[in-house]
Amino acid sequence: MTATSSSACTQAQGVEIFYSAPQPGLDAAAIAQSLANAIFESTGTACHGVRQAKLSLFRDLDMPGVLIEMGYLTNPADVALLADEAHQQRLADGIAAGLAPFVANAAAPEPAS
Amino acid sequence: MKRPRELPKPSMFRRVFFALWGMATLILFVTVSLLVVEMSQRGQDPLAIVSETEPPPKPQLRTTDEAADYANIVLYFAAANGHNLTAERRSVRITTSTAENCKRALQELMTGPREELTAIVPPDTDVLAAFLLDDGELVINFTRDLRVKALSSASAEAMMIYGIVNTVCQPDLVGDDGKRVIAVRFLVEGEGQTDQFPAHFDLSEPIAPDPQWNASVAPVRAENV
Repeated sequence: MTATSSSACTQAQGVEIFYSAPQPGLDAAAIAQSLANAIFESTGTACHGVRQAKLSLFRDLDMPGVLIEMGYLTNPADVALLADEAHQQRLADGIAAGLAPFVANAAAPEPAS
Repeated sequence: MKRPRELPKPSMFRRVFFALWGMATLILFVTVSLLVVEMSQRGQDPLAIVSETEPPPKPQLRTTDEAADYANIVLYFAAANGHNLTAERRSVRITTSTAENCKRALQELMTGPREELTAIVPPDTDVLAAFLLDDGELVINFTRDLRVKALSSASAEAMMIYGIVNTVCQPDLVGDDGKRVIAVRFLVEGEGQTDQFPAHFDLSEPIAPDPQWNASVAPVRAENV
């Protein structure tokens, strides 16, 4: 899931990523870290936090959950970036690149025993 | 020659009355004497009891040391960059009750930071009540401003929730009752989590303190950059 952020502090800017508690199987922390790296590579926007959080949308999830807040609507520079279609495309590319290794692993057939 | 008038003989009732009065006076005198002797032996000044110039003793909350009634506690506000919580130290008068101390810390938190930090609690928010259960769960009932004026983003919610939780869970707020806050349950005008509030965080269960929000997290970069 992706979203935009807001803060009482107008200096707050950039990307923040939240992930669900550890579960058997895929590691949400690893996915979140991969997304942070890929988004930075794609957009040049630093991620200011990759943190585990107890969010409502993760409550009944039986898979790893990640929430990306892609910019602050309280920060004029972030608003300008988020309104830019080229930046939106780079964000999407970054998210796709960050998820790619995990999608490939999930799609790969399990080795025969 | 005129004979002097004889005084009338006291009645039986008067004799008994004077005898009892004399005995009571004697007992009182002996009791006071013994009290004075006893106080003198203990090094106390018997006259200090009746001294009117001495001010009444102040109520002692924690110790006899006046300065010990204040604790140097930590309040967590959002850092200037808005991404993590930063501690601001403040001296707060504390009581014997941990719940009351938490309430006082929250009042300080709601007055906002004195340094270059950002408030984490929405404006006009107040605490209606704070109860500390035996298992260490602090139930805080806020006014509706917490719900109505809160910023709707996961980051802002994290700052607000963990700024409050990390503040009230600090050991410096433990009163003489020895109770320590383990986790915080959020209520808004008596109501728990709703579909509208909070928009992101799950407050259906008590929230334990989490130091990951306090530390300054370095921006994540690509590994090969």
